[in-house]
Amino acid sequence: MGFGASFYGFFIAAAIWLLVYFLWAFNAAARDRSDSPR
Amino acid sequence: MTADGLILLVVALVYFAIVIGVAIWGYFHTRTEDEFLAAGRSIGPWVGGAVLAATQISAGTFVGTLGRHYLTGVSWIWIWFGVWAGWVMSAILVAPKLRRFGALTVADYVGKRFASEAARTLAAALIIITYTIYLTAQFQAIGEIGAAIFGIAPLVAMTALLASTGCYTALGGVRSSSYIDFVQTLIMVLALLFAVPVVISNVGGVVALGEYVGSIEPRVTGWWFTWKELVAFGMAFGLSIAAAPYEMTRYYSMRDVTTVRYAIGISLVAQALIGSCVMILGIGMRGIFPFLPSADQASSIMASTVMSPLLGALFLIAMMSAIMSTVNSILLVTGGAFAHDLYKRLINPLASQRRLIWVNRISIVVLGLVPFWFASRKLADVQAIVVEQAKFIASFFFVPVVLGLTWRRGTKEGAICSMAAGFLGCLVWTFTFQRDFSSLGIDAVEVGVALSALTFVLVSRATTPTPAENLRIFFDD
Repeated sequence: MGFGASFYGFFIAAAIWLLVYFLWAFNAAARDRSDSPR
Repeated sequence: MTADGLILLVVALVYFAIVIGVAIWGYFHTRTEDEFLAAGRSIGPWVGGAVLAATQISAGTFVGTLGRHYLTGVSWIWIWFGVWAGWVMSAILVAPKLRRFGALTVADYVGKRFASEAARTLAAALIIITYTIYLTAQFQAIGEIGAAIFGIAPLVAMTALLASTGCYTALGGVRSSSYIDFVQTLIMVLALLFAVPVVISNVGGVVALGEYVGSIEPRVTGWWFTWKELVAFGMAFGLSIAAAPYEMTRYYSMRDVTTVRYAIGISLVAQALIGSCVMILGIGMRGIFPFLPSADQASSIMASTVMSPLLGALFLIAMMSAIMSTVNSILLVTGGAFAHDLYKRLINPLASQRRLIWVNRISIVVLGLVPFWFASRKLADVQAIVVEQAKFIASFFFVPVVLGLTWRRGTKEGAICSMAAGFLGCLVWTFTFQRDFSSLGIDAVEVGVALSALTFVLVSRATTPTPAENLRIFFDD
């Protein structure tokens, strides 16, 4: 019996986690830029 | 000297030359306490991300976590999501407000947010006590590694760790420490990435490894731990990360709030790489040496027998980097807590910048010496000390930081009582009900945080609100 969901699932879940985090961080940076006085 | 020993010596000399060179550069670029404790707010996202990762990754990761994967297999890796949940909570609720505040220490935040010198002093004292215990674990780890790999006395290894880390921390403060952390993170990631194909090729590939270790013990490739256990472990780590003083102080040194958010993301990428490699290496070592007498030996045996001399030397330097970067961060926090929060506030409020920098330096060396006594007596194993200190930090600090930054009504009396209740709750539970309730997934950290939160809300409701001028910087977005 080889590697299963616990092994491969981690890499998929981690990739999604990082993707969502960076999307949020880019959005937050854009929001900060638009809010800051010029 | 053997050829292997010579390679290790050359790699170590190059490494220490870089570390000391950067520290001397930092020494000549540090003139104020702000530069010593916050690097003049100059750290960018890449260096900042490496700093956060280096601080998080410790002796426990290279020795304890690798050993845990050796013994129990894949499923332990899922606790990283608990750690990362703590980081995300910090990125959303804590980091932006702390960076905007832009002070020098975490106790600075407590003092300003709750308008209380007593709360600031209590926070500084609890940080010094808890992190001195954490330092003990790091000294103990280097003592064990020194004895196992190099055959030197633990005290000699501990002295070398304090002399090298204490020296570069005290010389250049946060500025040079940050660039050294960057180099150390790079070494850790590269050493692990290079080690994975070596170990995997030794066992005939990933699929063959999975089939072999699965035939020894099926739970190694599946779920050794239940979901309930993984959530309980993950929550304990996440709660301690969300309000960890040695991470929070580094936010102050970054350029702005956006830099902090990106730095946390880059740190998550580094942690994902390091965590994945450590998992594969732990299971790989199970495939190569299925019956080691102690799981904690897996990493040192891998470096000395499975890898080439050069890669083995790089891996040992990576292990040392993990310990040094953690010790460095703790020393900066405890030294800053004493010099900035106790000496400057209570003993010598008129101290010059030059004197404050020197008090920081002396505090770093003195507070680095204290754990020697504990480490030489081996009060518990390394992983146990690391876990216990994390529980205590979360129990007394999570609520004043996370709830304090999201709920305006929190008061100084609430903060002081919640820190005391969280600390004592965790302490009492650890020595009384811990064993009976652990099977239900209830740990001392959850009890400590729950008690701290309840006390914070009840006492704050019954006392006078914090003055509006103290709250403005934290709540008026």
